[in-house]
Amino acid sequence: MIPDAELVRRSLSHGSHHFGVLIQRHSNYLFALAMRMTKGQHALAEDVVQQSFLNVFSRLKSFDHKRDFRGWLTGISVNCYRDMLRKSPPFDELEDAAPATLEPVDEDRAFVELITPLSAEQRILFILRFVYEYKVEEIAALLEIKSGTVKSKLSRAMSELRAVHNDCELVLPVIEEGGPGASHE
Amino acid sequence: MNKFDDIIRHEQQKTYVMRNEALFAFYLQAKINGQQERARLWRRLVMVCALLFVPAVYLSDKVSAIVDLYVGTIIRATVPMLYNGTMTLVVFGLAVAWLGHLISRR
Repeated sequence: MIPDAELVRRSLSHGSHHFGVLIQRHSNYLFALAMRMTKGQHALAEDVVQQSFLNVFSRLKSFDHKRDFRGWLTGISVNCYRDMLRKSPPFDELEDAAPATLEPVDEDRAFVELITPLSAEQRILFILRFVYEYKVEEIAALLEIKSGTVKSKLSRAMSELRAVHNDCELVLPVIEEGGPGASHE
Repeated sequence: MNKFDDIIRHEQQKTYVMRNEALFAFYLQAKINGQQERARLWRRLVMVCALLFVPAVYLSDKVSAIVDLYVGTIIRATVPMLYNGTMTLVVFGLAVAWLGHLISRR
């Protein structure tokens, strides 16, 4: 398998058809991330993925080959989602919107219901920290913010979740420095 | 394992599927190709402008001669027509037709 960095180099020197391989390789990962950030809004998630890949292509020259391509893609995708929220205010998803998953509806909604009280910014950090298991420092590097800011925002998010879900049997983790190893899929 | 861990574990294992992945990739690739082509066209435009810069500077030096050659010819051809009334009649006719058109619309 050709490494991502090599495909980036080929896309720049030999043409955009090499970028198609990168799209195929990372589109499912990016779509899943977008679906989680948008709380399952399929059309919006597809827009995020599309705009992210376009932004990635236009900034391909600035890609640092020592960096992980997927991490770089994640950072751009998150910024892209933020920009889209800034440009057009979010709208509520339809109650009966068909979920884009292969799994039963009840279990699918549990995660969305868990993160619903969070703001978009908190939701992004929560997803990166707990679903993708990025460390606080890694999130800070991806989003180009201070790790202290990530930590405080995550801590505030957890407090809000505790306040909302206090009647459930949810035991929410306490935010500490670092965390489990990153398995980013 | 508590409920929070259950929800997170379930979410990590969940598979999200695009409605039409192949079409999406095709459309995206086409957009990227278009973007690349547009950038290439801009580069070519800049190159052409740079190449034309020297002759343009030379011509701008001679602009008065060129204006005199072309515009002067047109003026010299038109003025006698104005004098003998042909052009005046055409302009007057057009003005009357336009006024008539405006009035008929009321």
